[in-house]
Formats: sequence, structure tokens, C-alpha cells
Amino acid sequence: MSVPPVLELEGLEIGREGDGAPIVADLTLSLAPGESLGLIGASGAGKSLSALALLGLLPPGLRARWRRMALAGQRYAAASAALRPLRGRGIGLVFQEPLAALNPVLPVGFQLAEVLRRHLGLARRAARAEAAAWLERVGLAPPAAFLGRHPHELSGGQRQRVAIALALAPGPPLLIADEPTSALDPPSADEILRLLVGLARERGTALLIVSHELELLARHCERLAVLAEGRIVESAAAAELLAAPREPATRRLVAARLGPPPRPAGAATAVAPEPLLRVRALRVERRARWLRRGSPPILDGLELELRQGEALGLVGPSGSGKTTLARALLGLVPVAGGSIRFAGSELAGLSPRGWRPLRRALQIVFQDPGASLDPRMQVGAIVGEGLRIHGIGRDAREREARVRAALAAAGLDPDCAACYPHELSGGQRQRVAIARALALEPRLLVLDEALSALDAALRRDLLALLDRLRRELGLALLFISHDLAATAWLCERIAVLEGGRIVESGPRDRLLAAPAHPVTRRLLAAAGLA
Amino acid sequence: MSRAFAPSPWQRFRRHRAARGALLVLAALTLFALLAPPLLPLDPHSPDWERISVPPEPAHPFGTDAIGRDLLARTALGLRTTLLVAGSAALLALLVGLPWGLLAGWVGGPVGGLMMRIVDVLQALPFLFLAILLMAVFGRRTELLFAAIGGYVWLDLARIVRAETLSLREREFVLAARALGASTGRILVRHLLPQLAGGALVALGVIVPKVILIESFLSYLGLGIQEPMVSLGGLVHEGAQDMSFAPWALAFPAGFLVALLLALHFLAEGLRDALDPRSPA
Amino acid sequence: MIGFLLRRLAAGALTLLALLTLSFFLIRAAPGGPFDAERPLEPELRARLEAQYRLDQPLWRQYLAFLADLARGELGPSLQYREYRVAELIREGWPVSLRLGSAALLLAVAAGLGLGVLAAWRRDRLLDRLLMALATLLQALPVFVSAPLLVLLFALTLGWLPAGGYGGGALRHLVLPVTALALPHLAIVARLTRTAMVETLAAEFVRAARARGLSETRILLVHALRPALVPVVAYLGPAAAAVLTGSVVVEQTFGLPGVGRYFVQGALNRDYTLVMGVVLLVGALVILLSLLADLLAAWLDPRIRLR
Repeated sequence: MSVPPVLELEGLEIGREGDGAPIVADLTLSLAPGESLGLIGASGAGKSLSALALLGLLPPGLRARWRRMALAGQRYAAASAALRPLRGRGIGLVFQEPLAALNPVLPVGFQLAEVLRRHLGLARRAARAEAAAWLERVGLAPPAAFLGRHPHELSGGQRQRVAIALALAPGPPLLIADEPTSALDPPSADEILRLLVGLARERGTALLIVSHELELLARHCERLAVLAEGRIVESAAAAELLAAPREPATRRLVAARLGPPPRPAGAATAVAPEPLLRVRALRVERRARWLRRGSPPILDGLELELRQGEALGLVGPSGSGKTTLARALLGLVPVAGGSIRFAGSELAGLSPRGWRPLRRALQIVFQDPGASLDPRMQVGAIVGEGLRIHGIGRDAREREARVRAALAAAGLDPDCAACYPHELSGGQRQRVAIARALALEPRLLVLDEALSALDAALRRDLLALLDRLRRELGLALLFISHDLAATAWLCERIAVLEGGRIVESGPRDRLLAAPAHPVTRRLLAAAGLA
Repeated sequence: MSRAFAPSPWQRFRRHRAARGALLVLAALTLFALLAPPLLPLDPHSPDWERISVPPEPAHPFGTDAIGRDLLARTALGLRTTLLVAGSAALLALLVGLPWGLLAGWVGGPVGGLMMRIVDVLQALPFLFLAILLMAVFGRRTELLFAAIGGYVWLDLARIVRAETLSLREREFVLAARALGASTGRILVRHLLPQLAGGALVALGVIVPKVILIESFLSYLGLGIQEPMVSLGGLVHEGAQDMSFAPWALAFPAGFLVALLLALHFLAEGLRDALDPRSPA
Repeated sequence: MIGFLLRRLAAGALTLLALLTLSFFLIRAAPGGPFDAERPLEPELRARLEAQYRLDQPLWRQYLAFLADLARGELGPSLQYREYRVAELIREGWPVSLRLGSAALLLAVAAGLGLGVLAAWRRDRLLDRLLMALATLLQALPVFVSAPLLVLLFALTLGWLPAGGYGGGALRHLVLPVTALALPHLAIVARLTRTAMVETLAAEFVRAARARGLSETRILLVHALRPALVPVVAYLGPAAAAVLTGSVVVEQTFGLPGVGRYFVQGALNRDYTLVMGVVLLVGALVILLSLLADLLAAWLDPRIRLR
């Protein structure tokens, strides 16, 4: 290679001050000018810390060392003061959570102009003009409409666009994007990465994208590097790495991609002819606020049917009303109109007393297991709460046995009944939430983005668990997600929600092969299925 | 699955040095207030005309006041009154403010809104003014003082509890309990109250010093606790009048008052740090 | 914005009316009256006085008359200082309180903010601990303790400054009362600023600003300070109203002719009209300054919605 690399990093080591065990051990990496490299690894592998270490911005208590680090041929020592000149000018950084990374009280135009004045020495007016040009470059047009806005007045995707402009504006030779899309829904994530790669290529900026989403990285980066146990275990061109993973860690990552759906999906269980759940013309309105009447309803004219033993996938972009539908089905938000018939009973407008006997048969698993488990209760008490409420089981012994059985059915060690939620990992917590629902022996389980917070390997395990529960217990599943790939893996029927109504629904294969609605096509493209 | 993951709030509290010290000081002050008058042969009420405004001496460790009453006995008595006022105001705040805030937050909607408007209106009134007016107008009765202070301090607690209830109500573990079929009573008692206890405790740590300040201020103005009862504020007032020739009459009550307020302050700080999982242990 | 202002002003006017009404009936419900002073008045004289001040009329007529007077901007004569009108007493006393109060407010805000930023900047170092320990002590020190102590130290013992008196507003006479008035607020502002600054300095957006290569000074004073000012401003609204209307403790301790003492004196002497005058002054100021604080907070942090 005749051109010197933009970044040469040799033997990066990050550890806690004092004790030994390093979080990142011996990380070596190099990027050619204009190259795009995807750095992939499981959560907790130290990807984000490595990015921060290059700028001397590690959180207090952590130390970084390296044998050699050079940016554009210039060597730097691993000390905060030595790295300060690199910030902005040498390395641009795009953070995971754009709302948290932008100053909430300053207009985005101000923040952009500030960076331009600092690094390019522009005068006030020139900086403002250049800030407008940058907003246009990242697709926020007309810039005049965005300059004066504050971060909270922008959507998640727009904020990330601003963050990209902020990072690229000083013209750094290297841009590091740390999980730039994990706060976004798949269609916006795809657009953001395309923008990022496009801008970097156009300006000759080398790009290092850190993420745990293999699919997304493989689609947008030229080269992939796999981080495991604190070091790069494998690095190759994207297509090559996917086709022929060499190292075990890489193989695990590639294997966690969802394979072909288990088929024939419906054959194992006999699907009942009568629907278990039938939703007709469902309407849910926004909570009425004084002087704010007349805003459109969240759900309007929604229709849905689900049989015993069937898994129905419900997909849609954020804000389409998915979560509201889940909550309306469970009577957690008031229904303004329409009908929900479940196992022969009408749920719409049911009194709390009328709901109680039905609660057993209709259970839900929420998105964030960290939030849906009471932090002050032990796992056994959490899973057993429903049993006590409904008076299931003759005595404490029998209830305990049921709790243990439910934990085992959710793939957990029954002895973890004595744990508190914060002692468990994210995947284990979500299994507890599933066990809590299973303990009541429900007929229908609603999963509201239940797997979205988990990384790929865990997601795959839990999908397999859900599929097994459906087959073995004849459970009906309503799988609500923005992740079309996972939905297509689990569900033989898929419905697409947009603007509070179902815009398209049908068998999975038909929907994947011939999507009719533009929203469906957009979701397919974002999931890499089109 | 390591069990030694996060220390419990109680462990965190015990590790908080300032809070531990504050708890000790508070215990010592309480003991002094309770035990000094019965145990020592000193009378807070009867004047000793032979020994007017004497500086601290073995017979009168804190000296005497302008009419020869023993200041140690008077300080202990004043401290007891002040602690009593603080304790009863805290109790009143808990008994009224906690249910009020919980209910307003849980019910929400127009009823919860109305409940909070009442709190807003009461809080918009300059309370100190009304208290002065009340005491000046209806005579300086101790029950009235308790009622006036208690009627004011529950507002803060109600507001804090309501805000926390509002956010907890929408949390997924509460929704999950509802989805399990848990009754409102069960959710309030089993899931919400344990979460609210911490915030309420911290709020009390702010409310109690405020009550003490208000009471001492009213007593300083001569509107609070009346003779023969006396509170620290009243003693400071008496001491301030003679400070040019008997500074000890100001120094001892003022010192105890400041020590009490400081101890409560550090206690509240320790509670807050212990209950906030983000703060370093 | 205009709608918000109108709504808040209307709500404020209603609160003020409620406060005035409450005070009006409360003080008149009290036993005793303005002419029950030390020596009893002759019955005829007393009747004449009561008729003159409308005290012989039924309560509701007195209330209506009070409202009518209020609408004309008339507060009536003081019942205790009978040769003065209430408005005159306030016009004479308030400038003294205002002068003291604004100086104290300025001192509290300037020093409090400065020390708070300094402590946050050096957080968990020695300077931070010292400053915060001092602030904690000052916050726990009631004015009625600190004011006599200041006199004891600087006037009686050291003899540097006069122990009391207004001295026509001379600086020497103002130093001690302004300090006594400012100390607790200074301490609270410093603590609030420090706490909020420490929180914003640990926020992700500050780390992002560092990653963009902005200077530390700019991060401290532009990015971190501005959001940190919100709780300070929220505290200062009502606090400023209290400081600017005088403190009975400070005025008593230093013998100053402000309006702070009128309220307690008026309530004790059943000087109905004087009490109502002070209630009006303080109430209106609390409402206006709280509104101002809310506007300022919304300007500092645009996420705050004015409702």
C-alpha cells in the first residue's frame, strides 16, 4: 500500500484503574483513507470504550494504553492532554443516542456554527452560512427551517443527521460512529447509514462504524472486523466474512443471523377454525387534553384475527400504533370504539371486575425487561404474583412448584427464583417476564417488541423458545415488532400497521415475495429482505 | 449471577460518613433534650435573682439568662419543644401528604388535577405571612402553631409523591401487574409504596429542617411557643437582646439550633445518596 | 406566549384576590381591635373613630368598600399611625427595603453562581468540599442567628462597622444588613448551581461537546451552565420577592426603617389597613417574580413548555 493509512492502532488496552482484568486487550486496527470498516461485537465487548479512548474521553476510573497510535502519519500518546487536539479536527465522533449527544438547550444551528468557528476559524456570519450548507448536505432542507430548532423539536433520524453534520463539519480524516442507528427504527437506520457512508466517501473521510448489528454493517461497510474478548479476532471484506467465517466468535455471530423460518410452520399444530381473537373497527383515541381536542386517533378502524396455536406478526414503523394496540387488547388503555372478542367474551368496555377471570388467558410481555419487572421483588415473587392474585394452587408449596416449572419452561434455572432482577442479564430478565406470563397458562401471549432490546444471539434463542411454546402448548402469539426479519422467522401470517390501521396483511411468503403497500416495501428494504 | 452486585440502600447509607455522623449527633441531641431536665438538678423556670446573667460556671454550665434562669436546662427544654414540633409536623405531612399525592397521581384526570390545583393555590399563598397573621390574630396557641405548620408542610410531600406516582404509574412493571389482574389496592401497596418510600423519606429530610426554621422564626418574633414553654428560636431571641454583655445566652441556643439543622441536612443528604443508585457509594 | 401571559396574569390576580380576602377576614376575625391600645378610649371618641374608619359597619360592607377602594388604588389610612396613609408608609419604607434587598440579591446571585461554578469545576477536590461545607453551614444558619452574630463580631467586638441605623443609606450602614440578608440565599444558590452543574457536566452532551473539540471554558460556561441555571432561577423567583420586601429580622436587629417590620407590627396592633397594604405588596411581587422566573427558565431551556 503506497498511501499511508489514516489510522494505525496497535495494542490498545483498556482497563479499570487499579485491578488487572482488561476490558479491551491488545486491539489492533488500521484504516486506509476513504475506507469504511465495520467493527462488530457483542454488547459489552468494549467497542464504544475503544472509540472514546482514541479521543481521551474515557469515563473516570478507566485507563487506556497503546503501543502505537497514529493518525494520518502523526503519532499520539495515550494521554488525555495529548489527544485533545484530535477532538473534532482529527477524529469526528457520532454517538449512539443523538438526543443525549446534542446540547438540549441550544439550537442546532448554533451548535454547528460553534464547531465551524472553532475549527475552521470562520467568522460569525460565514459560520452560519456554512452551518446551513451542512444541514442541507445531511438532508435537512430547507436549512432555514432547521437552523433555529432545538434537538427536542427534531425526530430521532433528524437528530442523528445533525450529529453527523457536527462530526463531519471540521473535516476530520476519520469519522467514528458508535452504534449510530441503535436508537432508530430499521428504515431510518438504513437511511442514516447510507447518508453516513455516502458523505464519508464523497469527502474522502475514513469511516469506522461500531455496531452489534451484523446485517446492517455487512450491507454498508467494505470491510468487517470482529471484536471478541477484547481483541480483533477476524477481519475481512464484508461478503467474504459472511460467506466463510473462520473464527468461532465470527461463526457464532454469523449463525445468530436468522436462518430460514422453521417450516412448514403450521403443520405441527392444528390451527383451530374459530378465531380466538377477533378485533373489529377498533378505535383508540389520544388521551383528551384540554384545548387539544381533534387530534387524530392512535388506532382507527383496526381489524385483526388470530386463532389458537397461530403466530401473527404485526409490524410497522415507530409511531404507527403498535404498542397502543397491545395495551388496548389488554385493557390497559381505554377503547373508544369497535369490538375485541376474545374466547367468546367482549373485551371492549369491560369493567375491571369483568376483566379479572380473563386476565389468566391473555398475557403480555413488554419491550424492556429492565422496566417491566418490579426492581424490589425477587424473581420467584414476580413470577408467582399472578398465581396469588388468581388464587391458583392450593398452597405455597404448589405455587412454588408452578413458579419453578414456569421458569424452567422459559429456559431459566429454577433456582434463580431467589434472585433480584438487577442480578440477571437482559436476556434472562426477558425470560423471567415470559415465565411470569406462562405461569398463568394463558391462551394468547402478546409480545410487544419483546425481543427488540436484545442482541442477535439472544434474540434468536428467544425466538426459538417462543416457537417451541407455540407448538407444544398450542399458544397463540401476537408478535409485535419493527424487526421484520424476526417476525418473518416466527410468524406464518404478517400484518402491517401504519397510521393506526392495518394497511396490508397476508401469509408471510406472499407478503415477502409481493409486497403491495409502500410501507411494507420500505420495511422489507430496511430489513435487507427486498 | 453474582449476588454481591449492588449494595442495598441501607448499606450505602451506612457507608455515608457524614450521614452516620449526623445520625449520631441527632441521637445525642435527642438524648440531651429528653434526659437533661429530669436528671440534672437545674430548673428551667425559676429565676435565681442572686445569679443574673452569669457566664458558664460549674453550677450553671451554660450560664444563666437575664433573670437568672439556668440556660442548660432552658436549652434542653427548648430543644425538646423544637424536636416535638418537628416530629409532629413530619408525621402530619406523612399522614396527609402521602395519601393525597398518591391518590392525585394514581387517579389522574380531572380529579387528580383538581387535587393538585388545591395544592398549587395553597402553595401560592405566602405561608409565612399567613402563619404570622394566624398567630398574631388568634393568640399564640401551641395547637394552632402545630396545625399551621403541619397544614403547610404536607404540600411539598404531596407534590413530590404525586410526581413520582405519575411516572411510576406508566412504568411497565405497573402495567405488567395490571395485566396480571392485580387490584388497584395491591398495585398501590405492593408495587408503588415501596418505590415511593425513598422519595418521601428524602422529602421529609428537607421538610423537617424547614419546619424547625419556621417554628424558630415565629418564636423569635414572639409569636410561636409561649412561656412557660420555650423553643430554641425563642431562646435565640432572648439571647440576642442581651448579647452585648451576655453572649453565652445567644451562643448556646444558637449553637444547638445550628447543630440540629446541620445534622438533619447531612442526614437528608445521606438518604438521598443512598437511595439514588447513580451516586457513587 | 401572549395567551400564556394573559392566563398567568389572570390566575395571579385571582390568587392575589384570594389572599387578600383571606387576610381581610382573618385579621378582622381576631379578638380585639385597632383601638384597644394600652389605655382605653372614651366611648364617644372610640365610636367616632370607628365610624371614621368604617369599622362600625357590617363585615361584608367593609369588604366591599375595601374592594372598591382597592380598585381605585386606595389603601386607606393606617389605623395605628393615624396621620399617615398606608400608601405613604409603604412609599417611605419600601425604598429602604428595596435598596437593601436588591443589593443582597445581587450579592447572593453573583457570589452564589461564581462559587457554585467554581465548586462544580473543582468537584470532589478540597476547594469544592470547603465551599460546600461553608454553604451548608450558612444555609443552616437562620438570619435571626447570623444577624446578631454579625453585629456581635463586626460592630461590638471589632468595632469596624456601625451596629445599626440606616445612616441615610450610607454604605457603612448597609454592609452588615445586606450580608445578613444575602447569606442564606447565597448559600442556596451556590449549592443549587453546583449540584446542577455537576449533573450537566456528567451528561452525554458535554462529553459530545468535548469530542467536538470545544474549549473547556466554553463547555463550562456555555454548554453546562445554561441548563444548570434552570433550578437556580426557579428558586430565585419567590426568594427574590421575599428579599425585596424586607426582612423583619434584619430590620429589627439593625433598626432600619423598611417595610419588613410593618407586617408583624400591623398584625399585632390590628392595624387592618397596614396589614392589607403589605399583603398586597408582597403578594403581587411574589406572583410577578414567579412569572418572570418561569419566563426566564423557559428561555434558558426551550424544552420547558409554558403552560
